Formats: sequence, structure tokens, C-alpha cells
Amino acid sequence: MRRDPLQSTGSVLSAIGSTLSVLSRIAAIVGLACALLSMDRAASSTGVTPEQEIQAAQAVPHMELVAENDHLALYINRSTTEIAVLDKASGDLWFSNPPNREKEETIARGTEKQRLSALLSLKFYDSSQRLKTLDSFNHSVQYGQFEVSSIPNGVRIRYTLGRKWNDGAALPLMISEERFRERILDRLDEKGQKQFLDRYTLIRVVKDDQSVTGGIKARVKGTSGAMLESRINSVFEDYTVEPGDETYRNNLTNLQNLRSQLEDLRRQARDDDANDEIRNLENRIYQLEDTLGVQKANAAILLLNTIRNNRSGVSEISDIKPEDLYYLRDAAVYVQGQMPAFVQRDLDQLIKLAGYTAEDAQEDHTSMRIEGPHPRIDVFGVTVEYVLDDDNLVVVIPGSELEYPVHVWDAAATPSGRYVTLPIVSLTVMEFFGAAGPGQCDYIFVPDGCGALIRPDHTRASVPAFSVPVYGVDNTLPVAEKPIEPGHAYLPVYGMKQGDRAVLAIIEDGEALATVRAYCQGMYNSYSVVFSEFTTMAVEQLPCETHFEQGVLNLYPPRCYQGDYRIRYAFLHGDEASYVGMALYYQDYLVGTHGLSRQSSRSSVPFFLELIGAIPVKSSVMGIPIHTTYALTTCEEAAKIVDLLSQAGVSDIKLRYSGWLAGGTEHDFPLRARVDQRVGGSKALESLRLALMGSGAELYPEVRFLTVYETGLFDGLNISRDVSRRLRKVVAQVHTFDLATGQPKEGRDRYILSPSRLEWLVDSFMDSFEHHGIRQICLADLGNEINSDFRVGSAADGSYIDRQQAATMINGVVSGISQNGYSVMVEGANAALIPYADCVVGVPTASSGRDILFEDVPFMQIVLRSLVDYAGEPINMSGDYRIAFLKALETGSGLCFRWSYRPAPTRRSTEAGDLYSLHYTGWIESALGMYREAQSVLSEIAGRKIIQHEKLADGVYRTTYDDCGAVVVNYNNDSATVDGLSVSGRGYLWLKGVADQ
Amino acid sequence: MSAAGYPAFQSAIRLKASLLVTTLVVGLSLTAADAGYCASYIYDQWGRAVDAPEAYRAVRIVEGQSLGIGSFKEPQDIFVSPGGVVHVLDSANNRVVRLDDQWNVLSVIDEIETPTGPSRLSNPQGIFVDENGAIFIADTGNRRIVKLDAQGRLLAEFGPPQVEDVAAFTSGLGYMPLKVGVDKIGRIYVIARGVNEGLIRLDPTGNFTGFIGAPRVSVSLSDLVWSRIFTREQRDRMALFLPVEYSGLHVDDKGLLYVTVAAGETATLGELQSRPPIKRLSPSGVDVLVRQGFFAPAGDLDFAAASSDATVKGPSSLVDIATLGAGVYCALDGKRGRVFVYDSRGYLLFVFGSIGSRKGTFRTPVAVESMGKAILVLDSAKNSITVFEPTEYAHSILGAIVLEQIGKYDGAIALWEQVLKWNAHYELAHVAIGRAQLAKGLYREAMDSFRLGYDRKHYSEALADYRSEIARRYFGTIASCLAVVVIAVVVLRALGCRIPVLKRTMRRPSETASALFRNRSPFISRALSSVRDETGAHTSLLADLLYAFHVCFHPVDGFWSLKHTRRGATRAGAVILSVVCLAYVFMRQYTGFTFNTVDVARMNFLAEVASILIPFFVWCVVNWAVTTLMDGKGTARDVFVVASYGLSPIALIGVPLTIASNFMVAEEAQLYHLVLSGSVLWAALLIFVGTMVIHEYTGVMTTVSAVLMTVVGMGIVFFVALLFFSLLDAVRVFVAGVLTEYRFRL
Repeated sequence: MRRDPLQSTGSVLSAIGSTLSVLSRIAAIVGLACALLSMDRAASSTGVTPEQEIQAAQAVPHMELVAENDHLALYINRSTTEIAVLDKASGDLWFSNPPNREKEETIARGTEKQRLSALLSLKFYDSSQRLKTLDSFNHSVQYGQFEVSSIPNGVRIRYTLGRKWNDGAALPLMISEERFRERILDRLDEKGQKQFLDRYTLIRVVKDDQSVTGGIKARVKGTSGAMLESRINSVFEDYTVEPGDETYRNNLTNLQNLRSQLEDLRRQARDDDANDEIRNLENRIYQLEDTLGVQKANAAILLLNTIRNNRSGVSEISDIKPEDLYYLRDAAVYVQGQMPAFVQRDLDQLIKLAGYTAEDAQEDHTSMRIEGPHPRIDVFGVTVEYVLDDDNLVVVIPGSELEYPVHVWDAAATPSGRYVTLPIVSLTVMEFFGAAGPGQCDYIFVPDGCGALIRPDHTRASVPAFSVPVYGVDNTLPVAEKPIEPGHAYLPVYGMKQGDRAVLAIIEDGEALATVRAYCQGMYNSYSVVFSEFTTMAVEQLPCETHFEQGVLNLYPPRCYQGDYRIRYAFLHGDEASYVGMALYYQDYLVGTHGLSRQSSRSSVPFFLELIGAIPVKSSVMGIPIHTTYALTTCEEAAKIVDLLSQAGVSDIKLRYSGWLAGGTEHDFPLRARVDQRVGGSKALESLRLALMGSGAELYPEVRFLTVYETGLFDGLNISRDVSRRLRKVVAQVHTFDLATGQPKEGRDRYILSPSRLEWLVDSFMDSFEHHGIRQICLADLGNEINSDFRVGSAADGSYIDRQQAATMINGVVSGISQNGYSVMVEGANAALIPYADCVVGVPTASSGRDILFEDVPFMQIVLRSLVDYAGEPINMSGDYRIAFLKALETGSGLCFRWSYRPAPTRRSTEAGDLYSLHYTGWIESALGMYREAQSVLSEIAGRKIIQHEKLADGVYRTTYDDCGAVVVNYNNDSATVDGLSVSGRGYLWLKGVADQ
Repeated sequence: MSAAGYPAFQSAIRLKASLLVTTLVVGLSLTAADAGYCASYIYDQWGRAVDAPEAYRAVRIVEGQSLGIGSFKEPQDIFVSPGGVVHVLDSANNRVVRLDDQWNVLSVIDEIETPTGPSRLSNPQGIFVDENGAIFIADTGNRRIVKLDAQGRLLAEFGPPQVEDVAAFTSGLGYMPLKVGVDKIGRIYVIARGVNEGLIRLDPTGNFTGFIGAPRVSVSLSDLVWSRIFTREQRDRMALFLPVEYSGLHVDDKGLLYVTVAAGETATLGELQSRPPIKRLSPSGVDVLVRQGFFAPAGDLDFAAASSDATVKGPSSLVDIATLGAGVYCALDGKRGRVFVYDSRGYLLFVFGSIGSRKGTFRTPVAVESMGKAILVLDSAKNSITVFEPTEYAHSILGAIVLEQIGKYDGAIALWEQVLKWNAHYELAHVAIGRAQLAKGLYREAMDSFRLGYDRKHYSEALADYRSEIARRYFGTIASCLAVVVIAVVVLRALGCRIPVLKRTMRRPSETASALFRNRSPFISRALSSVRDETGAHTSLLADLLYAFHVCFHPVDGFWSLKHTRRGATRAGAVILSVVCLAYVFMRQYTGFTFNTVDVARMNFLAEVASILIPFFVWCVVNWAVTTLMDGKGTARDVFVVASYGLSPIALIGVPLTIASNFMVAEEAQLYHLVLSGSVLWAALLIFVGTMVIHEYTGVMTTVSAVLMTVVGMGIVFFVALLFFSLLDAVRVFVAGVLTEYRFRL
């Protein structure tokens, strides 16, 4: 009659499995029905008929409908908390966990396999700094530690992850006879009772009636036995311990019988015959007394050992005082005996059925004045909400409801025990949502660089899994050596296409803490998945090598992120189910949520020109280093270059001018907009502005706020106030790394500005910048950097500033500047800044190129297209400018060049390494050639959306622009023939008016 | 035994997959945008890594599955035959895959057809294909070299070489050939595991003809001692023993062998330079590699020391080498996954690649090979071949090198100018342009170019030309000026006028000086008035300073006088010392480019000054201490005065020499160094004499022993200081650790 929850779950799963065929058929019917109904759905308001509801309910066995709206229906399995979403328009069913995992899973085993049933998992460092992972199935659902409740439009699940009690904690060590019978035995069947009685010994402490002569005869022979005997006798004084079981009782009766027989005999017979019999009887009595003595001794030892092991302040039996045992006098208790692990497991199951819990055991232990096992400390609470919002499923984990042990006593942490805090360091959400088995997944879209696809069926299982941090890495966390490029996800979106359906996930909240992860079938299990993991709390591991402590010390901030982690899932179908569809959906989402307007009236794509003003150089006079600036391009010279370009017919120039601030490219603390004297001072900047106004070019002077240089005592930078702190409380700096060794290199100190001081600094700068009369500004690093400040007290609420808060602060600053009427240029552009930016430079045209990625797609460009002007990396900084040029055409990016008027000084005099290909004279002719070549295409597509992008052959891509045409580019060295049209090698073809077929 | 001569058994061809799949899409074709970003760098003349444009780009990853022949399994070697056929030695699959230049499978040899029946390879490690298409395979597991034709038929088989006394063969290891190469006349070179006697050389029929490429044994004192003790046999064995284990082998089109040596983990840059890990061996085993670059080709020059806590440390572990034509060759670092490309003179051209999980990076790169312009890197862990193609930047550089070699200098210059457009700091381009300017007679411009290219030799040539041009141009003027001066002097002499100043200053500085200035500057005159006379206690600072000239030429007399009569000498000594420090810094920084080997931009004034002052004061203290024990009469003050006055020749000669060095050319280096060392010797002599004088030592030997003991004492002081500071550092680390723990734990 044992009911194993594990087995029962298994049976549920296999039941799901067995209904697969039925399910798919029904899904098809639903789809058909939808298709039929869709004709009159335009008119009908709800679009959901009762039949559909019934079908839907049938389609999801073991699941219960908990919420629905016009577009979606949400189902939940209340025993496993799995959910499923029905997309009513297409009939697609999306499961939170692969429905056929029992059968399909061939790689993972044991808990890894069971993990496929989890909806979330968390990571924490235990008290010995080992990283541990708990998931909602293995560590919560299995123990029944969850609650499902309904909320408007959805459902809310509270998980308690981590078992409160260890195995066997519910088995009482000592329990009074009546409680044992009442709470356990009476609720079990005969077999169960026997199992318990086998392992529990009933012990009575009774007035010693001296019925067994010699009292307790210790089983242990010799002096220690005698000592034990006297010990027991002295502890129990005139009481004694006797086993309460039948054998003892029978033996005792036997003994009494024999004794009376003996007495009878002695009284009756006095001859020799009788003597033999008497001797015989005496022997038997003696043996029986011995047995009884041993039984009593065993019972006493068991009782005393149990007390000794479970009472604080007692480490030896000799420490037990008689007065400690008065409460046991005349009592009958059951004491737990030795048992192997498998028996313990059985009894644990039985006692659970009996409804006796670890808390009950604790109560009994208290009444027996012993301490039972302690509850475990590593228990965590997480709440998840699934809400249907229009045609989206929104998954929310309220950060404020995360629970973790804070300053709890951990007896096991060190020999003496200590208080520990075990924060949740990361949360993985919906890892298996839409998980696809072999052959089911066309591709996974990940936001690495410009965007990239993973094709699980073309990926070897031996390549490393994918992960990319959203908005890049947090520089406030230290890096010991140059890491292998972790990548940078500018957009917090990811998705998966399966046949004619696709799911797109948009991380709406907590995105600055997210990492997008993906892996393919065969790597960890038989499924391909894409999901996000949130860093709930940053950790810095401090090497600690003193004599007192070896290893590392984990440092945590005082709290975890308090906002919500929110992921919005959109379901796409048919033509929409592609990366282009996802990008366009996301673009619509941005337009909708931020009220953006599209540029529809543009007539050209701008020409982006980056000019470098002054750079810091150092020279040496008599061995004394002298730091100064060297003007690569003065304001006057900048005007000359722009003039050259506009005379050659280049219109709509956007000039990003860096290194104009005092100090050059590594400018002084930007408290004021002071122009470097070597680029000509503020008068020269004024004339540059006027000159550019004349030629219709826009001047975007560049300023960097997030990392600052110290330039002197009176530069306004107060390091203790304005600079972020690391978790180890030191001032946060950014290092440069040696190219060859990857080790930190000596260089100028570069500090990370505390986000709390950003607004102050920007306000101060902008006040001063206003006087230059320029209405455009390039906020380069605000677009692609977000750093937290772990100084306690840096935030207004007295706590620290986490990365999400820092992101919000940056957004606030940029939107403020934009609202003041400035045109803003940013670099890279994290998604949150797109609404406030007018143009974005440095939009990646490639991904990080990791092995798992199959191909790159211009996802980011499709999103940006028609919202803002954008350009990729400068063409002259790429090794192959023809390819860079073609890439610009494929992605609809503006052409971008980074130049200087004068050649860079010798390498020895400057630390900046990437100035090697800047001299404009070498480039201007080819740039003009490219501009003229591209203009025919770029002028046509200005302001148009990209509605299709496809790979026609290896290295041949076609991008179709809304309502104007398509461009086919061929990156190969040889010409390619596509659809009857020949594209020359390293060339392109403009197909005017070709709409999407 | 050529392949052509072997009878063709068409029916016996056992090719498991003789595929000619032309339509097959090969591997993952990558566009430029797909290619992984890899920070590319190059080493400058100081051995520092500096940014450089991307030189090679991964354009294609070739994997077994997509070729339709199943995944490669731990492939160990790759070879592109002269006919352009790519041979991949798929080691764990015990097969050879032949691919054409479009990456279509030509054939898969997984069984060798021998007269006695089929045979198989066993974990082969090296492959080579000769001009006739004969395939040589180091069949490691079978302890043999096999020679096959393109169809996989056995042409010849070479077992273990018949050589005695090779430790690796006699030990349990046995003969395990790893790499094989064949030169023009058919000699076979083999690298075998555990054999550190050099390369095994076999004649075309497989007979062992010796080891080549073991470095020459330099005889040290201990060797000499041992050779007295050892027998002749033992000596012979010892001569062979110098652990050189070759890791990679490539035979170039001239039949010379490029080889790589795996450098020791703890090797320093200096060791890499003195025992270079890349060699080019002639058939007789002489290293003929040209090493004219800033550093000898050795892979990475800058690397974390083996004792550091970096994740990847120690020098590059070069595993394979290949030539790219025009004398350009590339070596593969298996440790960091980098490919280093050098030109024929040993200049580093490019570095690319890394370990990683991105395209264009490797996990365990094992072999490098060139195919036309492309470079192929075989990765035995990723089981793939990465095809790198040069970017336009690299293309220009390689093109310019080729044009230079065939003598088309004009075309080369145009390309080099292109190169500078991409990389304004590319030294080779500057040098090439400088040479062109030199040829055109633009000496001044050429000097600038050579300076940018950091080419001292050519700079000196340009300077010589420039100098003589200037001399020619202004010969008339200079000559007439000189003539006027000479005539004037002669006339004045004839008229009986004397030129008083110089000689008198030399002899009697204070008097002359005061006499000189008495009537001209009341201020200086007042300062000089404090001079009483030669025996007086006070002399002016200026006089004391000028007395240095006297000391230089009359040290015995001078130092005696300094000790006994001139009390101001301490003051003057301090001034002289500071002047010497400044002069030293001046010399370090402003010595002409031809002779200056200091990284001027990195010079640190304090460090330079300290490099004079610390030994100076240690000398003073130790010398004083030592001579006190040795009955020296000199006081600490005397020691200081002697040392400081003794250094004055360095300033006196060094400064004019430094100025002159800017106009000197390399041919005058001997003169330059003679003068420079002359000044140092002079200073040393002065200090020696001074020591003798002030301590009133009568014998030279006593002085010599005092000086020697001072030097030894200085060594001890430095040693103790080193010990003290390392101890101090340990204390610092400990205290910092305790403080850290106190801050974060409590």
C-alpha cells in the first residue's frame, strides 16, 4: 500500500505520453476548427466557441484550465505545476515541460531527467562556498512543498525549494508509548505496524522489584561491564529499565514459574533424585536470569545512548544525572533502534502515510527532553505568476518575494558553527518552455551581437552551450584576467522556431540582470532549449589565504534585486514564425510600449563620420614623462574634411566628434564642457558648428560619463564620493589587458562612475554644454555600458545600486537629455535606450561567432530599421572593407568611417592601440566611391522597414525592404546565380520594386 | 619506388568512399560577418604586444560530417600536396582523407593494399606527400613509416631504424614515429617520440644515416672534468645527450627543413632567444634560419611567467610549422592556439587565432598547413579544419614581400603604402619605403622612415648619406671658415699673442677662475674672494667643481689635495654626483638612434637615477666599512669625494659623445664604444687611484684587495636587501590577509 509520489508522478507522465497520438490528432482538429472559424472571427468578438473550449480542455489531459482570454488559454497540472498555453488562433499548444519526456529523454538520468519537469531552478552557495542548484521539481514538487492559487487572468505558484527536513527526521527517536500507538501504529496496517515494532523498542522504567536477581547483568563482560552495570544502577537508583516486549515478559513469567517449581521441589524432595532435578532447575533459572539481565542491559544502553546522543551538554553516559531521568520513571517509551538506510526510507514513507511529520517528531522529542534533528537551513521560497495578457503569456517572479536564509545559525558550517546567509545568486526561469526534441526545432534565435541562429540539428553535442549577458557585463565586478569575450546582447529577446510556429520571449523587467542561455539536444538532455537566467545577487569571490582561512570568501551585497523578473512570451504562427517575424513583432512591441513613431519621410540614409580630435600622448624629457594631448583633428580640420565630403556630393553627414573635450579621447572628468586647446578651443568649436550648419551636416560631440579619468586635484572628481565600489569595498576601476598575455596592464587609472552621481554629472555637463549652442550630442558609453555600485548607502534607500537600478538611472538621464531637445547618438544601444536615441552607431553586424551559432542574422537592424538611423562599425576599422560595405547594404546600415586629419603619432607615444588606420587621406577616395555606389540603394530604402531577410545560398543573402525593393549581396569570391539573376563575386544586386514573394 | 612506377591494380582499389561530390555543401561556410572576432596584435621592437588590424579571417570550417564521411576523430596532421590535394590524417579513425581544393572528398584511404593482403594504420600521427603524390605516413602504433600511392597501395615500409644506444628505443617506449618529411632527393626525416638526439634521417631506401639537428654541445668546465673521468664510449653518449625534442617538421620547396622545438614551461624570453624554438635545418643539420627581426622567431615574446597565477603561462608551445611561399612561414602554438607568421628574414608579420569556442579559435590545434594563400589549422579536439584567408591588409603585405623578392620594387612600394593605410605603425612598410626613399636620394625622409621602422642599420646608412650630402653642400662654407680660423691662429701666434685661458684653468682652477671673473662679475668675484689659498680650508664651489679637471688628469695629486686641503669638496662632490646622474639620463635618452637601445618612452627618471645612486652609496658605505677594517686612513667623506669626483669623466665624455652620436653612423660604432668604455675605464681608474690615495695604501695589491672586498661586500648588501624585502613582502601579504578577513568576516 506504499504510495510513492515519485511513482505517481511517473504514472502521470506516462499517461501524458500515452495520449500523445490522441493529443496530436485533437490539436490538428483544433487547428482546423480555428481555421474554419477564423472566417467569421473577424466579426465575432470572443472567437471562442464552447466546442473549442471543450476540445481545448480535452487536448491537455491532466491539466486544468485556469485562465483564458480571446487569444490564449492557460492550463495547469496542479500536482506537478506544469503549465501549458493554447494559442487559440493557431491551435498551437506550448508546454512548460516537454510532454513526452518520459519516452523521448534518452540522455539524462535520475534527477537530471526529473529536472525536465521543473519550471524554475535557483543557485546558491552553501556554507562551504560550493555552488548548488535546486529546481522546482526535484526540490519542491517532489516534497509537496508548493501552493497553487488563482489570480486575475492567471495563476500563482509559491514554491519552497529545498527540503526542510532530512531523511528520517520524521522518525521519532524517543516517543511515549501512547503517542506511538495513537499517532503511528494505529494508523498503519499490520505489516506496517510490524515494520515499526521491529525497529522500535519499548522500554519501561519501573521500580526495581529485584525480581531478576543480580539486577542488570551487563552483556559486556569484564570490568567495563561491571562499571556499566553500576552506572546504570546509580543513574536509575531504585528504578530499573526493562524491555516492554513479549519475550521479556514471557521470560520473566517463566522465571517465576521455575522459581516456584524449584521451591516446590526443594520443599518436597530431599533425596538424590531430586537433587539432580534441583540442580537442573537451578541451571535453567540461572540461564534465564542471564538472558533477562542482558535484555535489560541492552534496553538500558539503548535508552542511555539515545539520551546521550541527543541532549546538549551530555557527551558521555557518565554525564547523565539521576535527576535528569526522573521524568522517565514509571513511563513506557518507544526508542528508535539501529536501522540501515533502506529501512529508514521505508519507515519514512510509512510514517508520512500515517500523517506523522517531522514537526510532530520535534514535539515528541521536546517532551522527551532530547533534541532531534534540526531542520535544514537551505530552504528557499520563490513565487511565480503566470498571467495571460492579451496575446502574450507573462511570467513574473516578484523579486521582493524571494526568500532565503538570512543570518541563520548553521551548526555544520564550522566545527563550532556560525551564522550564515545563503542568498540566491541566480534564478533560471522556464528552462524547458517549448523545449524541442530532435528534429522538432528549426532554429533558436539568440541576441548575440546583431543576432544569431542556433540550428540544433546541425550542432555537434561537443560544442559548449550558449550564454550571453544581456547588456554586456557589469564592470564593477572584478576580472582577474581578460576573459574570453562574453558577448553582449543589446536586445533582451530570444526565441525558437518549430515548424510553422515560433515563440518569442521578451524580458521586460530585470533584463539588466539576465543572461540568455541555450543548449542543444545531446548536450545535457535530449532537448534543445533557450531560456533566461537572472543574476539575483552579484557575488565577488575574495581569495582568502591567511592562516585562518584557506580558499575563498564570498562577498554579497546586502539584498537582492527587489523588482520583478518579468518575461513576456509571444506566440507566432505561419509566416510570422521566423526571426524576421520575431524582430518585427519586437519592433511593434517597442513602438507600442514606448509610443515611438517611425521615420517614414526620410529621403536618405546618413553618412556617419567619426573624427578623432585630440588624443592623450606622453613624451619624455630627460626621462621625465610628460602627459599632454596631440590633436589628430582640430575643429578647423574637421570642417575641412566635412567640406571635402559635401563638395563631393555627400549629404546628410552625421559627424561624431570625439576627443574634443579637454584631455582628448581620455577626457577630463566631464563636469564642464571645456574644449581642448589643441583642437582649437571653444571658438573653433563654434566655427565648426557654423560651418557644419552651412553644409547641412550634424555635429555630435562625444562625451563619456560612465568611466572617468582622474586628471588632477581640482578636476571635480571626488573618488570617495563619485566612484563605484566593488563588493570588497575598494574603488572600482577598469583595467586594460595585455593583448598577448591577457593580464592586467599598467595604465592610466580609469574609474567607474557611481550611477548615483550620473545625474549630477550629466546635469552639470549639459549646463555647460548648452553654451556651445550645439543641439546634438553623442553619449557613447551610455548606450552600451551598465555598472552597478556596491557601496552600501549609495542608493537613496540606504542600500546599494543594483544593475537594474543603474540601467533605470541611465535611461532617466538619456530621456532627460532627449526631452530637452537634443538629438542623441549612442553607441551599440542597449534596448532600453532605443526609444530616446536618434541615431545609433556601432551596431554590431556580426555575432560573437561561437561554435554553437550556425549563422548570423541582422535581427537588431530589422528592429532598429525605420525607428532610428544606425551604422555598424567603421568600415576602415575592419580588415576587409568590401565585406564591411556589403554588410552595410545587407543590413541597411549607414556607411561609417573613423578618421583623423593627421596620421597617428608613433606608437611609442600613445597608449591607444587602435589608431593605426585612421589617416583620412588614405581613405577618402574609396569612401566616396563606396558612398556613390551605395547611394543608389540607400536612398531608396531610407525609412523603410525590412520585411524579409533570407539566405539564398552560402554567402548570398537577400534583404527585402517594405514597398521598395530587395537587395541581394554575395560575399563569396565567385559570382552566384540566384533565381536566374547573377550576382558578381563580392558584389550586390538591387532589385527595385521586388516585393516579398 | 615512385608512385608512377607501381603497377595499377584497378580492381584491387579498396576505397571505402571514392566520392566526388561536387554539389556537396562543405562544412559551414562563413561570411566575413560570421567570422569570429579575434583581437589581433603584433610585437613591436620592444617585445610588447600592440594592436594590429585583423590579418587572417576564418572563412570556413571543414568537418567530417558535412563531407559525408563521418566525423573526424582526433585528426593529428594535415598535408597539402604539391598538386593541391589536402590530405587529412584522421588518426583515431586510422584513415587518410583526401580532399580537393574545393573541399570535395576525393578518396578515403582506410586500408592499405599490400602484396600480402590488406593492412591498417594504427593511430598514425604524421603525414607527408611528395611531388609524385606518394604518401608517407608515420604509422605510430605500428612503429613504422609507410609509403603509399594515392590509391592506398603500399609502396614501401620502413621499420625501426637500425641504430643502437638510443634510450627511447631500448626502453619500453620503442620506436614511435610522430612526424615525417621527405626532401627533394628522397631522404626521409622522422621525429620519433622520446628521441631527443634530433631528427632521424633515413636514406630513400629506409637505411638509417644518422641524427641531425641536435644542437652543438658547448663544452663547459664540468664537461671537461667529466671527460677526463669518462671512457670514450661514455663521452660519445654524453655528446649525443642534449634534450631536444622536435615537435613539428616541414620540408620547404628548397628541400630545407623547418622544425619546431617544444620550449620548456619555465623558459624565459632570454632562453627562447638563445635557444630558438624555430629552426631551419640544412640536410647536414646546420641551422640556417635568418633571424634579422627584432627578436628571433619564437612565438609569443610576452607571456606570464611559469610562477605566476595566470591561467595560461609559460612560452608558446610550438607544435607545427608550414611555409607560405616567398620564404614566409608560420608556426602554430598549441597552447594558446595562435599562428605566428614570419617573413624570410624572421620579422613577425602577423599573429592570429586563439583558444576558444568561437569560429576561428581552436581547442587543441595540432597542425598548420598552407594552401595557396590560405592557412589551414587542424584541431584534434574540435575535429575540424579551419580555413583562414588573408584579409586585404595581409594580402598587401604578402604581395609586397613577393614583389620585393622578384625585384619589382615600385610595385612593392605601392603595396607598402597601402599597408600603411591599414596600419600606420607597420615597421616593415616603413623600412621598405625608407629604402625606396634612400634609393631616390631622399635621405632625410628615409631617416624618418627607418626611425619609424626601427631599423638602425638602414637609418645609419641614410644618416651617412645625409651627412655627406650636407658636408658636400656646405663644404665650401665650412672649409673657408676653418681656413679663416687656422689662419687667424697662425697669425696671432706669429704676432706673439698667447691664448692663456685653457691651460691655466687646467692647472690652477681656483686662481684662474677668480682671476678670470674678478673684473667681469662682481657677484662671482665676491664668491671667489672666499678662496684664501691652496692650503686654506675654504674654496669656492665653482673652484671645487673645476678642480675635477685637475683631478682627472692628476689623480694622485688631486685626491690628496681634496682630502687634505679642500673642505668644500663634499659639496662639490654632491654637485658632481647630481651632474653625473643627469648626464646619465641625458645619455640614455638622447643618444643617437643608431646607438640607442633604450625604450625612451618607457624611461623612468627616478629609476635611472636610482640605478646610479644606489650602487654609488652602497659602494661608499661598504668601501668605508671595508677600509676601516683594512687600516685605511680615509674617512666616509673621503670615500664619497673620491667616488663622486671619480665619476666625473663619465659626464665629461658622455655628454659630448651623446651629442656626437646623433651624427655618427654604424661604421663608427667602434669609435663610439671605445670612447664610451674609455670614459668608464677612466672613472674606474680614478676611483682606484683615489682609494689608494685617501686610504694611504702603499701597495697596489692592498688597494686591489680593498676594492675587491668592497665589491664582494656590495654583493652581500644587495643579497641581504633582497632577502629583507621579500620577507617584508611576506609580512605585508599576511597583514593584508588578516585585515581583509577582519573586514569581511566580522
